[in-house]
Amino acid sequence: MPVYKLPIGPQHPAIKEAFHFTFDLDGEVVVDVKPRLGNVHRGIEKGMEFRTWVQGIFLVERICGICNTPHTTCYVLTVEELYGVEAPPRAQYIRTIINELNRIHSHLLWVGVLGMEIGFWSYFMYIWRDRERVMDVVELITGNRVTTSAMLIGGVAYDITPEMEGPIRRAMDYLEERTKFYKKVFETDPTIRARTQDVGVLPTSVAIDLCAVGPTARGSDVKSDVRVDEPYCAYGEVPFNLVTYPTCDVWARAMVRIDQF
Amino acid sequence: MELSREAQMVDDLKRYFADKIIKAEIVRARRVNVEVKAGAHRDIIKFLKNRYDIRHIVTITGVDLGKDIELIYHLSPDNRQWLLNIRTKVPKDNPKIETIIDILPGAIFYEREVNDLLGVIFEGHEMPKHFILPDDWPEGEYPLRKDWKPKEGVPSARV
Repeated sequence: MPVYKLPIGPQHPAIKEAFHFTFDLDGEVVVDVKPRLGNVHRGIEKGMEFRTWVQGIFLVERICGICNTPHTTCYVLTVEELYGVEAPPRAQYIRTIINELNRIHSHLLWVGVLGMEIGFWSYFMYIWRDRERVMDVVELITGNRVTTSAMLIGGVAYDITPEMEGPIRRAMDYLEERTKFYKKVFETDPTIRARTQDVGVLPTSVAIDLCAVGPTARGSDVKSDVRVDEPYCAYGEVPFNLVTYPTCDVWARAMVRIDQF
Repeated sequence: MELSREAQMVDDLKRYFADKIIKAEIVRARRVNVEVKAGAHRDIIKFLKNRYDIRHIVTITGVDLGKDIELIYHLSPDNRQWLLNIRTKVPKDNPKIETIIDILPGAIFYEREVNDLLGVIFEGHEMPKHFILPDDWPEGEYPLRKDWKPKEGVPSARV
């Protein structure tokens, strides 16, 4: 059977950002892919050359909307190391909490989108409805739903006050219950399993050779989590599990995130 | 006292590559800096891969130092417990260095990025012309070099 070339993007309804792929198809099997990046390259690094350290915070925050706090955290930690200063412990804990909220909403978003891509729309809508509870907490703390502008060089811009404890705990209790339900569905639903198990297999050795990180690496049984390997902010003082799955498929990569909700 | 894995590695590098290393030191917990002479990076990266399971490359940073471009290969062992920076310089008027993608295939995108934005040629790495910059980007314009300024006639370059 001849190999067909299927160009997708840079503008395409199935991808969220401008990105071009040329897929080589043999029937329904993808045998190769050539990506073309750069369609949304904004020259942020060049733009930071002639701006101040403080202006840089708000520029790196715009590298990505969904994961904005890791970029600002990384940036302020770097600048602090250059200056030889450290933020006080309370600020380190607030940074950790805001980063965790960012991570949780990002995982909910990702697993929700996965539900949508495999045609499981109700799963997507339930998860995105519950994601709003995280966004509410982020708004309560920082005044912003998405781009938090919370990190400063040497500290944070917002405090977490005693009055916030009740609403934050209520939201977390609610999400904990919902997470058990989402996990059960993902483990047992035959449609989800048929669409994700043994699909997109990334063997452990290939994941290591291609330098995979994060949930992608852990879904391929690579025992690495930057929060454990390089305990920044207050991560070294908070116990949590390093989640890995051995099946190396789409199902494993989703389960890593669900366990980390 | 037993040496940490990082300290062992620094000792090993100093012993086996004495004539190829300018400086090797542990700068703080989980950070090792190794400055190597031009052309020595491949042998050292190969040695580290075989001896210390260093197969993870985080990225390659290119720094315009004026006369030279410094390349920093950020590497990490399989257990990702520490970071190792291999630093080496290429002259800006002849920015050529041998590729490492046959040793660490994860470096493919990083070499292409440094090639596109800083104009460093990675010998032995056959790559398409552009990775990040648009197809109609003019020849010889490397936007991440410090002396490069946005200019007329360069598409979509506004700051």
